[in-house]
Amino acid sequence: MSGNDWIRQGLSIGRIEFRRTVRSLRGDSARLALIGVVALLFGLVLLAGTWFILQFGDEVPAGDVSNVIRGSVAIQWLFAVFISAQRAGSRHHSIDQESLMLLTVPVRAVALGLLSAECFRALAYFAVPVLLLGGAFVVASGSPLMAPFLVLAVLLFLSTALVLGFALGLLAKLVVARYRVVAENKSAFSLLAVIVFVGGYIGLQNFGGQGVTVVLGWLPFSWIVDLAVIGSPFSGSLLRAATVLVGGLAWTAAGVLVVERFGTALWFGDTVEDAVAAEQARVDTGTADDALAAAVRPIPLPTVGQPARRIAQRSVVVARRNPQRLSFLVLPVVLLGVSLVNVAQAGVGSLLTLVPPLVVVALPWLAGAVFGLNPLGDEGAALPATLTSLASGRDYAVGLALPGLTLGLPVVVVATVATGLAGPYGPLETASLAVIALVLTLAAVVIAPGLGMAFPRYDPVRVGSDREIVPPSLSAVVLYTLTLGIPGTLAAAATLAPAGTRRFLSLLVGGLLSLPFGLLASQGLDPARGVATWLSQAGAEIATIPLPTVRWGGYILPLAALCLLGIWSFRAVSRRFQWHTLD
Amino acid sequence: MTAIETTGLTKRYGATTAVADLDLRVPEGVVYGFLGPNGAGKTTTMRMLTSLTRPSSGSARVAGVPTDDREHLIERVGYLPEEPPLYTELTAREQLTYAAGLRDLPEEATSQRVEELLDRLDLSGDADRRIDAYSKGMRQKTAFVQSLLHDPDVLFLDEPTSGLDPRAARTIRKMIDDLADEGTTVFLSTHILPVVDEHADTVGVLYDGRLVAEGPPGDLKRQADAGESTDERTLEDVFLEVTSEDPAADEATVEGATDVR
Repeated sequence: MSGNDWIRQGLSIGRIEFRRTVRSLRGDSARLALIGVVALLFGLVLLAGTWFILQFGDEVPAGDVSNVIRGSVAIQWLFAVFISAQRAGSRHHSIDQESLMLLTVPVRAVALGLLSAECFRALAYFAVPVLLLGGAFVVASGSPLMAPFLVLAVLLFLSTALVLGFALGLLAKLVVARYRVVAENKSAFSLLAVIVFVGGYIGLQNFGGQGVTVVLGWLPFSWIVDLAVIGSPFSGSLLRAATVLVGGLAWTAAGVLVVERFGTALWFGDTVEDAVAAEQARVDTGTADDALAAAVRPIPLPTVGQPARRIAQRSVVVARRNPQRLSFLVLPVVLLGVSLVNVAQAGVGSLLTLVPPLVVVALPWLAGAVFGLNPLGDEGAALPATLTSLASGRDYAVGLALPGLTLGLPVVVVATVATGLAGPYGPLETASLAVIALVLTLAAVVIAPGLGMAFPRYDPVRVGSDREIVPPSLSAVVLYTLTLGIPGTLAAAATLAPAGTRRFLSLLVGGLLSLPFGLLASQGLDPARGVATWLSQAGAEIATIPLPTVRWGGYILPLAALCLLGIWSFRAVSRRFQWHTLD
Repeated sequence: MTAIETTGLTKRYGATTAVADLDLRVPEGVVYGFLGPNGAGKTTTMRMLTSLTRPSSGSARVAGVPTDDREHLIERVGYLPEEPPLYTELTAREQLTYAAGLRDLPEEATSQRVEELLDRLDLSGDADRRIDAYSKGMRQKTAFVQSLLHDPDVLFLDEPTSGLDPRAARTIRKMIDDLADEGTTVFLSTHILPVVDEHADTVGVLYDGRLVAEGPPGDLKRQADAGESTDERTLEDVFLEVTSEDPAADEATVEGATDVR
């Protein structure tokens, strides 16, 4: 084997791994649809940004690259390191067909293969935005010399972050493999790492102020921005640019060697994980006669018929022992938290004002989603056995609803009352919110399974290195969120701010909804004119509804609708379970 | 009394016919060996017979209950699919308690029966370990116990000895014989032909969705046309002949109790 064969082999592995990623994506219609929607939305923003830069890019005043700009780049670089480490530690710490690869090519080639595949994956997402926005700026500012440096800077940004992230990810896996105490608590350590980093990142982005950012501007990798602006109207430090170029290339090369070293230790070394897993698989039920009831303790599930009780117990035990099943909840919760902070920062209201109505809607949403949003998919291989058991549809619906109700309802009510009283709301408003929370929770635990069974998902996705889970379908999540979110928000808004709610509804109907019809009418489409006029009038009439009517109507009607929907959903779950087939 | 009876049972998926005009009569208390190459329609047939899949046409009764009456049918049947229907997060004891609970079996009696069956299949020592730490064979044994917890009249087994070590496989085969002796009808689908040869009272061979041969294993072997060969025929020979696409082989008839081609 010649000296540089490992480079050729590594890049070849990278190409094949990337191609496999693309092919598996093509076979995953749900994920493809999600990417399509995001790409469409992001594409519109991207095109608008490109147009904006082309129009006004030449008007950007020339200036020096400050440490604030460098620090901002450093924050993104650190984020890229974190994502890379997280992916390396959980998904890409090994290649498929590991035994074939490790006995066919040098470990260094495998390391390079993993890194290059990850680099290709990153480029698949970032190449187009960078080329469009960067190209637009190069054209608008008339600085063609900037183009190669910009591309170089982006590649350096990716490669330096990727190798560090990969090395850290593999190191983390290595520590788990070698140290029993870490292996025994790896989920807790992983969660802690995520909380610390994501918390730090959000904190820096939102509350850090310029002081921290300026300090980060002294990190050498922030100097990539000095390289990127060469040839542009901005002036960076040439010394820093040269340093980061040479240093970044050396760093990347050294990173491959470090990944090789960690990879060798990980792939060829012993691990304590198997022994820990075997120990943790043993469940101490003591001398309990009823193993499943013992496993649920201390959660006090109410006494119902045995089949429904068993279904509820099983749901709780499975969720408790395999919390990765609930990882689909992380993104909505994080997005909600970030939105809340942003809204509060924008001055719409204080956190104490916003949290109670948010709790009223979000916690019931969680109570339903945790146990019931994909009941058939959650059954996995056990589905045939469950369907041919003697549990009736009613037992199944009750069993699915019980855990969310037992665990969720007390939390929802207590949280609503506590946040309501801590906020600026009076006892009456807080009590009204508590009733909304109660109705929403009751509805959520039966609507979630209804939608989950109407839009089931059976294809598993990989979470971490050794677990496959079946998250709910996107359709079920979206429909469930809308079904619960719209009436819940309306009821809470009508209670707390009837005037604002009336204004919003009036604008929604008379303005936003009538706008497209108005536009169609302006193009000569006469039927649209009638609709636009009717909607405008309806909007105006909404604005005249007396406030007490808005308050009580907006409160009672959505809740009544949710109750009816809940009853219908409960029956639908019963029916579907009784007649579901595996066709 | 007939335990399983089908008339023109057919399942189509679009243009593909998975099972075509299946007519079966399986008496009570026998072991019926259901053979066929991969994709022949065996699993689809078992799913139709357990109400998990609706037939496109035809009808079936199992233990005297029409298969479209799921509510009553599932009281009488047990089903072990090829993939063990278990929650890997539970222990075997929890899983079996759960399965018994879904059938609303008396809790104390169930507990005793679970212990007996776990003991018989050498699972007692691992009954408090989570199933995700089990080997394939241990999962298969747990699922086997689960399928017969409620003493079904008819037990459908899809590859029950797959992945088992020789000792466990023998235990399961012995239990199948015992079940049949006690009057349970066992509908046994497997690729392990010696198992069928040794334990089945009647064998049916499904090929391309059609029942191409049926009869007691001994009759099938004896009456198979051996051509020029003077060797003793095995069930494997019979299987290969009736599931061959070679026209010459097609002409070789297997005149068992019934050659249904």
